[in-house]
Parts: sequence; structure tokens; C-alpha cells
Amino acid sequence: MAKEKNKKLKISDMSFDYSLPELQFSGNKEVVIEGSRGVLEYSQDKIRINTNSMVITFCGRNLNLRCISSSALIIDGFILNVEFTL
Amino acid sequence: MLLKLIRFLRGYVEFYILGKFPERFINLMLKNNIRIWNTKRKGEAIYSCMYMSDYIKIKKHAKKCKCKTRIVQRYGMPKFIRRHSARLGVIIGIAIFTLAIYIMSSFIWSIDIVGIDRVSYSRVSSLLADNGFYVGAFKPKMNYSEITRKVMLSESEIGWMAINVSGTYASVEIKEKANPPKLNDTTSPCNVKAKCDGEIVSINTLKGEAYITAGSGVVKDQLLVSGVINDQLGGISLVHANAEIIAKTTHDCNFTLPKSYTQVNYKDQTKHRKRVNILNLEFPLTISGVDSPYYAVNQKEDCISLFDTPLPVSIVDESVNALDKISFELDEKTAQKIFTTKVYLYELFALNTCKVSDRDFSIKQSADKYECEVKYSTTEDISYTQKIIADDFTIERKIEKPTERE
Repeated sequence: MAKEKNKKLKISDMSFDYSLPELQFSGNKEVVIEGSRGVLEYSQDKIRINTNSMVITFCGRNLNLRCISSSALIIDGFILNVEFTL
Repeated sequence: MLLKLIRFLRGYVEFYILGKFPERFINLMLKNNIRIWNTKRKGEAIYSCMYMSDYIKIKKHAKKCKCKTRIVQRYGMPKFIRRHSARLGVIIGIAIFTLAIYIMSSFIWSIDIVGIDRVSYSRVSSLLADNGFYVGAFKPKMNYSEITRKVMLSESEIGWMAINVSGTYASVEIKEKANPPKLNDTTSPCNVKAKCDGEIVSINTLKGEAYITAGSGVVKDQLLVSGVINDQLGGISLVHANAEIIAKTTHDCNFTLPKSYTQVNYKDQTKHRKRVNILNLEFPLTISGVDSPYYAVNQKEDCISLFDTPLPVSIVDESVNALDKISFELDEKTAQKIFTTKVYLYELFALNTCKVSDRDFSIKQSADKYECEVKYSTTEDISYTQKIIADDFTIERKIEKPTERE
């Protein structure tokens, strides 16, 4: 059992595709998006983010762009739906 | 927390964007490396924050996106300075206070030395001061390991030492060396010799071969009891010679006293003066002195502490006692008294192992001094042991096994 756990934690086994955006959710309250290329649409209910390979749409309530940099952003609020458009 | 502090120091504005393409405006900000945060949509407008220095640059980008920007509120240090620019004294005061805290925190305020028993506190503190570690020393210049090494080399009693500095308080921890106890050597071969000239009264040999008898005269370092014993087989064996040898001995001592001498006495005149000691700087609080070229000073230092934290401020209370130099002429009676005391002390400390049987006490006087000559007749144990140093070859050569013929 312990061995299995260790196997799961091995980072070297994981493969990264750097062309894809990385999303890190904290429940449905916060999401960190790395690899963003810009904000396409911004309202309290809907945020559309452009990335290299797709457009990600977040739907919810009271959505805020808490922190924005050229390659990453943090969205907080009550996220209800995530949509990926290729 | 750090980010908030940086934002506060740089100063930032809360503003809103209103127009056709506010999303495009946000993307343009990101492309131009202009940081924005806390972006919120309220109705038509987008509210956000950015650094005050960046806000000046965004007008042309807003025009491109057909947007308008308006400042809602300014925050941070630049706003505070602008608001209080009329009150220059307050700003200068804050700056001085911040600077003072920064400067004062780079000095040692108090030193505590713990773990000393045999070595005195003053000895350790003076050694530390000699190596640049004292109250008021500048911290960034100090090399604690070097100071520790030098102090340990200077004082052989210190076995281990560490300097722990937390803020402005320094704690010097010391572990003294554990000296091995003196062991009585009762096994190694040795001879018993005489430590001074004398006439043997009694001899009690516990081990070894005696070379003297009661009544014989001996000189200093003469062999009294030998640790080399010839056995019946013709060989020799080495033993730890031990004997109690009581002998009559003589001791001489001379004392001299000048006929006229000067003595320093306390006068009834005492003055107190105080001074304040801040780090290493001293400022007098009261100025007073005594009308005498000779004086003695007693110093008492009280450190000021705030909530059990010692401050680098202390008040030194000095009491100055005036002294008077008086010249005396010594008469014979007084000289005799002084000599009697000196003789008594000499017997008490120098002749504490002897039993004084007789003393010849004579006082002579010359033009400028009194001389006292005392001759003692004593009985004492004059034995002392001296190790026999012999290499293996010598012993093997001397110890010859008897042959078959013998």
C-alpha cells in the first residue's frame, strides 16, 4: 500500500505537455490558469480566457480576476461550469 | 504581506474602465507588462488596481480601446506624503524614528555571560572587549567565531564558548575546562631525599632502604631512603620508597622598614557625581570634584531596562573620596610592633608545616631604616620523593640470574 502511494507521488513518472494550459482548482472557489494569452470576455457571470490551444470559458457567479500577469491569472468567485473550446 | 508592503510603499490607485472594449484594454496592459489586480466587474464598468507610476502610461492604451479610465481612490505612501507635505516636521520625525530604530538595532545593547565559575566575570568581559565585543559594538562588522577562538586562546580555563546574538542582546555561553584531580602516586619507584639541611631526629622507614640514622646530619637533596633494593639473589628491585623523617632545621628571615614614610588617609570630604552612559558614549549629569590632588573613586552602574529588556543606557554613580598624604616618622616602639606582626604572619604562612622550637629576634637600626632579623630553630618532616628514571636496558643488565655454578 505504501509503495503504491509512493508511486503515485513520483513526479518523474508524470509527463507534461507545455503547449497545454495548466489549471489548478481550489474547489469551485478559485482557479489558477497558467499559459493564458489574454481575456476575451469578462463579466460577473462569464469569463473567457484565450490560451495557446483552446479557449476556456468559466461560468458562475461573482467572478473576479484577482491577479493577472502576462502568462497567468487567478479567477475567484463561485464557478459553476467550465467549458473548453478547441 | 510582503506584496502588500511593496504596493503600499510604491503607491497604487483603484480605477475603473468604461468603454467599448474593456477586455482588450486588460490584454493591452498585460502585453505592456503593466500589473493589474483585484479586477471586478460592476455593471458596465471594470474596477481594478494598478501602481501609481503605471497609471500615467495607460491613457494612450485606453484611447486605442475606446475606453475611459477614472481614479476611484489613491492608496499608499506617496499619497500619505502628498497629504502631509505641509507637515514637514511629522515626515522628518517619522524618517528619523525609522532611521534611529534601524541604526540602534545594529549595535550590541547588552551582554550576558553564563556558565562561569572559576573564571571571573570581569576577566571574560575584558577579554571580549579586547577582541571588539562590548556593549555598543557595531554588529555587522563582527566575526563571532574569530572572537570566540581568540578568547579561548587567551584564557586556558575556558573549554568551550559560544556567542549567541538575538537582536541586540548577546548571550555568551561558557563551559569551563574540567581539570583532572591530582592523584597520589604510590606505586612508581622513587627515592626519598632531603628538602633542606638539618639534623635527623627520628626516621620511620615504611618502604625502601634507609641511608641515614637518627643523629646524622644531612644536606639539601641528599639521598635519605633509597628505592633501589638489593635482594638476596644479587639482583635489584625498584620500590616506591616512603619514610617519615623528622629533622632539626633552621630558617632565617629579614624584614626592613623605612624610618620615614608617607601614608594615604581618607579625608571627610566626599562628593557624588552622576553620568549617563549611552552605548559607549558618556554624558555627565552632575559635575563636582574634591579639593585634593589625591582621591579615590567608587563607581556603581545601574542598567536601565524596559519590560525586562535591558537598554543600552546606564546611569553611573561615582562617589569621590578625597585623600590626604601624611608623612610619618617611625619610632622604635612602633617598628617593633610592626615587625612582631610580620613575624607572626611569616610563621603562620611560611612555616606552617614546621614546629618552631626557638626563635632569635633582633632589631638593628641604621640611618634611614630598621632591620629585623629572625632565626628560627624548627623541627619538621624534611622528606620529599623523587622518581627513579631508569631505562629497561639498565635494569636488565643489573638483574642477572644466578648461574648453575653459583
